Amino acid sequence: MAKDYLGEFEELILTMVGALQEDAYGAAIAEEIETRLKREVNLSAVHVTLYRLEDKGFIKSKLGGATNERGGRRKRIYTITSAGMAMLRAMKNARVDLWKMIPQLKISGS
Amino acid sequence: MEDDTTIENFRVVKTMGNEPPSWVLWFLRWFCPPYILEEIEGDLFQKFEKDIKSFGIGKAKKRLVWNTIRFFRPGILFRNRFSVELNFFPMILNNLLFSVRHLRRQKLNSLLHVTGLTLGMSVCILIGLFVKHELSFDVYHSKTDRIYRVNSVWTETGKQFNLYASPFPLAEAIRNDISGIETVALARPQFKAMIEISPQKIFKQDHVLIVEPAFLDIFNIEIVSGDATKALIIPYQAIVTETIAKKYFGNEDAIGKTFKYRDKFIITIGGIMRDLPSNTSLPASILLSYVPNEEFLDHGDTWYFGDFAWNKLAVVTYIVIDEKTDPRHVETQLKQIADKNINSAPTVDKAIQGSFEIQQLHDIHFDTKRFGGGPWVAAIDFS
Repeated sequence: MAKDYLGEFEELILTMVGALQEDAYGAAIAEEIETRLKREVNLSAVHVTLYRLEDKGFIKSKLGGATNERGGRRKRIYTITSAGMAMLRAMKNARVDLWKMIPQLKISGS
Repeated sequence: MEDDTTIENFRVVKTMGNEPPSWVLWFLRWFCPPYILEEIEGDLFQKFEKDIKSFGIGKAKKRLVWNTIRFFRPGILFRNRFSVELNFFPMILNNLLFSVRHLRRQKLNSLLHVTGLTLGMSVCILIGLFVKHELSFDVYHSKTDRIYRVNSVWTETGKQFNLYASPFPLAEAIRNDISGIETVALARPQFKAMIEISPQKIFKQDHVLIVEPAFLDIFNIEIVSGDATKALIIPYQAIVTETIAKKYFGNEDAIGKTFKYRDKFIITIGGIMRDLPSNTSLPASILLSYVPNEEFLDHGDTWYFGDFAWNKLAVVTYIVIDEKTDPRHVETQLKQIADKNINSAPTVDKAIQGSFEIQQLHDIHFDTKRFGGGPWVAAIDFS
């Protein structure tokens, strides 16, 4: 995993795709980030990041069915690939290892 | 089609009371690659509808415009693919260009290499074709696996001769004494012979074969016209190939025409056969009906071991063995025929011993042991 490096926003989007499962598409991810992290994200940024992650092979996509909402437009549903999952796992482990080195965090965490 | 649905979709949006400014969508449609347009539009609509609820229609419209404009960015504008699709064409083209430049840079070297490779490959293909043709010899007959030639093994004071030819009476003896045989036919290959159509038109004809009527039951010979079996039963009749018919009589119908064979025998043409294929070991041009006339039969190779019918090896005997019969069973019976008619015959010199063995038709072409198959029969080695 050493050669692959994800930016902060990419990592966030990848995590959201993994978290939202069947409901992972552009607008839903943006909304979820806004409600959970109280962070304003732009739709276009989410889309571009999704495309970039797909190019890197961490997620894959297919068009969902048509609905009456959204002016009848279909959603592009993203799912995380095993490479993406491995990436997430590796990053989580790295973070946890690093956080363990911070005494204050250790005390409050445990 | 797509325009229709878009118009309809606009209507859906309008009836809900939320009208996104249409120029915004036109703008999006103008720059956005078509295959990601639908999902982006959908997400924008969804965001728009949510914004209406939280901020009201006025502010929602402004936000929609802004959100749309934010999509005008390189990641969207220059996006031309979704998944990694391998397109080999540019690579091949590049390789080709590279090779051509490389070849041009070293002209003499390239010339040598290309010529050498071309020659090598052509020769390889030619060898392949040749081998294929050689291996296809005689396998086109429908009974090819069961067709055998009876060969002779004659010893004269300790010296052994393996011969393709067999004695005249053998075919009749096989017919009478051997079980498990479907068909027997003898054939007598002829030397080149004079054929006179008219005093002005005389040919020296090769590949003439005198055969018994059963010959047609053994080999696949396609008859174009005439009654071939009848022609071979009636004495002094002939079946000629199409080429020969044309050569002798032009475009006239050759059936019923006559020619003079070896200045003595008047032969009537009773049938015309299709030219035999190039992969036959018996490339006959004319089949003459068998007549037990010594003078008629005389014009061919004879292996002479004494003045006795069984000791003159002159014909080629072909047999078709029954599907259920073991070829070894046939060979045993052939041995008995040889013992009875040659080895214990009072008229034969005791120093001469004769025996027979059988050989499959498609092995004949590769035979190097038995002097080929006659004066002109196409076997690989005549020595």
